[in-house]
This record gives sequence, C-alpha cells and structure tokens, in this order.
Amino acid sequence: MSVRTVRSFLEHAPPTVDVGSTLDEVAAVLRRRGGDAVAVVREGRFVGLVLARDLAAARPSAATTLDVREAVRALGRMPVTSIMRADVATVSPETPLAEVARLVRDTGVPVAVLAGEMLVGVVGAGALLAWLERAPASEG
Amino acid sequence: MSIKTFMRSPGRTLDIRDHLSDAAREVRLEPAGCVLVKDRGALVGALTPADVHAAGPSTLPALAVYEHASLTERLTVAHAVTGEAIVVPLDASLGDAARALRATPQRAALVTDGAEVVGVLTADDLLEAVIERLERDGPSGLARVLVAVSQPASPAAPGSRSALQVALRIARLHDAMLTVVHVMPRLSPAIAEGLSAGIDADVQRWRLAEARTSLGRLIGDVDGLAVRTDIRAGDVVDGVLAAAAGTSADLIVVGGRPGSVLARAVIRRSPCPVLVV
Repeated sequence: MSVRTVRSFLEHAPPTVDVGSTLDEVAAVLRRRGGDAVAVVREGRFVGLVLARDLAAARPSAATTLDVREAVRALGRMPVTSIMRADVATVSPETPLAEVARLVRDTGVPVAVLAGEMLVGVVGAGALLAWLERAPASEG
Repeated sequence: MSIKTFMRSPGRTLDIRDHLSDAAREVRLEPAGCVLVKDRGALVGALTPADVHAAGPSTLPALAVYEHASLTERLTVAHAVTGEAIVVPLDASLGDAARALRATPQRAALVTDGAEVVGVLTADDLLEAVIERLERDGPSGLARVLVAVSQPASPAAPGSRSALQVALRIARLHDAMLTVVHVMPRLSPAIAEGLSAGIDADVQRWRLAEARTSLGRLIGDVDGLAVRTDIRAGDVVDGVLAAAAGTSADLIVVGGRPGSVLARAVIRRSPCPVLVV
C-alpha cells in the first residue's frame, strides 16, 4: 500500500519540556521551535501537551492590574502542569497521515506520535497546513 | 480543489468597540468558525474563538485574581484584533491560503473576489482540504476498527485481552487503523480534558499516565500496524460510543458475554456493526 503514514511526515525530534518545568521554559521552546504545542515528558515518557493557544489564553489580559513585567514574570513562574492537557490522542508511527489529520480536526488538539512508550513526534494543524503549502498543486 | 470548495459564507459581524464578552458568545455560535470585525463600517479582520479566548482574562485562577470584573468589562473586540486582516483572493491556491494563514498569528482569512468579501477561511477549513487530499490515497472497506479495553492496569482481564487480540487480527487483515479505547469511570473529566482540578489533580494525572503505559504494554509491539490509544473519563458505554463516533469506526469490538450490560448497550446504540468476543 502507498498510504502516507505519519512516520514519513516526522522530520525533527519533537519539542519537549520536563513535567517539572515552568511556563517560562515552554514559552522559550515555542519561540525557538515554533509549532502548535510542546510535549511534556517525565523521565522520557510522554505525559501530555501544552498548546500555544492555551499559553496565550493563560496570559493576563489588558485588564490586569499587574504591570507588563509582573504579568510576564507571574505567568512564567506557573508550573507546566497548570495548563497541560493530559488526555491527548496518541497514535503509532504507522498511522495514515489522513487519520492523524482527522484526529487533529475532530479534537482540535495536536496528536502525539508514540513508538511504544517513546515520543517520536507531535502533529498539529500548523504542520499539516505546512504540508498543504508544500504539496504540489497537481495533487489537488 | 479550490478555495471555493472549503471556504464558508461570512457570518456575524461585530464592531471593534463591542464588548469582548459579547464577542465570545457570538463567535461560539458562528457556524463559519469566525466572526468578521468592522471599524467604522470597514472590514478590519476576522476572529476565531481562540483569538477571543486569548484576549480575555487569564484562564489561570492565580493570575485572573488580578483582573477585576470592572476592568474586564472594558475589554473590547479591539483587544483581540492582533494585526491587519489576512486577505486571500478567491483564485489563490489552497497552498497560498495555508501560507498566508501560517505567516501570522491570526487564524482566519477573508476571501475576496475583486473588492468584495465572498467568504471566510479558517485553519480548520484548510484541514478539511488536507484530509480530502490525503484520503484519496486511503484504504477502502473496513478502514477503522475500534476495540474497547477494560482495566489495562490489571493482568487479569482475559476478556479485554482476547477482544484486543481479535481486533488486532482484523485490523491487520484489512490494513485498518485500530483505536484502542479505555474508559476510566473514576477519572475526573476535568483531568481527561487536560484541566487542573483541585488537590488530587496530580494523583489523577498519575493514574492517567499509568493507564496509558499499561495500555501500551497490553497492545505490545504492533509491527507496522496503525494503532491509536484513547483514554476517556466518564460512563463506559458513552465513552466507547463517543470514541467510535469520533473515529468514524466501521466496526466496534468489545469483550464479554453477548448478554452483558456493556455489550447490549453498545449494540443498541452503535452506529456500526459490533463484534462481541
């Protein structure tokens, strides 16, 4: 079969932080690596995801009485578990990419790709749109 | 495939001075997935629920205490508009639209035909295009099998194990995607949805992580098979059926006697054939 699997789609090691990290570290990883989410691991084992949009929603609004520096510092000190999503869909690397895209659409959350217990990738809407951007127009 | 296939008709329009709390309500109700924003009659952008959510008070109680109601009431749609509107011509390619949406933090684009706005396009709409393009190569027939597994932490669950073995064989035979679902009735739904939930949150997260690991062990080496695990909180029957609906399962495999409560309830309400092992 020539079905495109998610394994063929994974290019880089997924961005991760330790479960004991703070949101400061998550923000730094997101700035450095981009993407929709950062995976959270405990002793190498996948435990959940922190989504870029959840980090944005956790940020104090313009209505806060904190000044900008205090707001940034207060958010940065919060533990990663405060906004981590523990129950995200996980798939094996042989899963067809179409199934992964359906999961991302249906759940609205990136999907973690696990080979056994090892995290090998995180696929979200951003990465799938990037694929659409690269896919030759003739395929459409 | 063109933008026309995937774009949606523009829905509600808000003024940039409208209250953000009103916008939150409007955008949730909008079938197009976004609302248009006008400033003095001119279109200035489109907002999705995530945009509005990001501009609202912090979701973290420890930070939200600094946002008094008297101040949050003054938040307007303008606080959620983060830049110039993304405009995509109707005749642009889907790849161009994806590039335009990825290049900015905004999540919705206006589709124009000449000077007229004829539609809106969100990342979700473009995901539909991705799925359609990928599914052209997809398998036909029995493509998605779902198996319900109980007590993944316990080695003494022979029913679950044989159901899983049967489901693995069927999935291999048909080259189908296998979803292994485990429902934990005593797990807090708030944890399953990824939210912190009081002082026992860490214990609950630990239980969830343990269940995921045990499920991984139970499934074992799948050697080239597409397997997804799905752990849910709440009622077992509801969880299994919701998982089946979510994955558009072609077949549900459950362990236990055919007359068991679980088997009967799943058979009665399932949208697809059910195999009781």
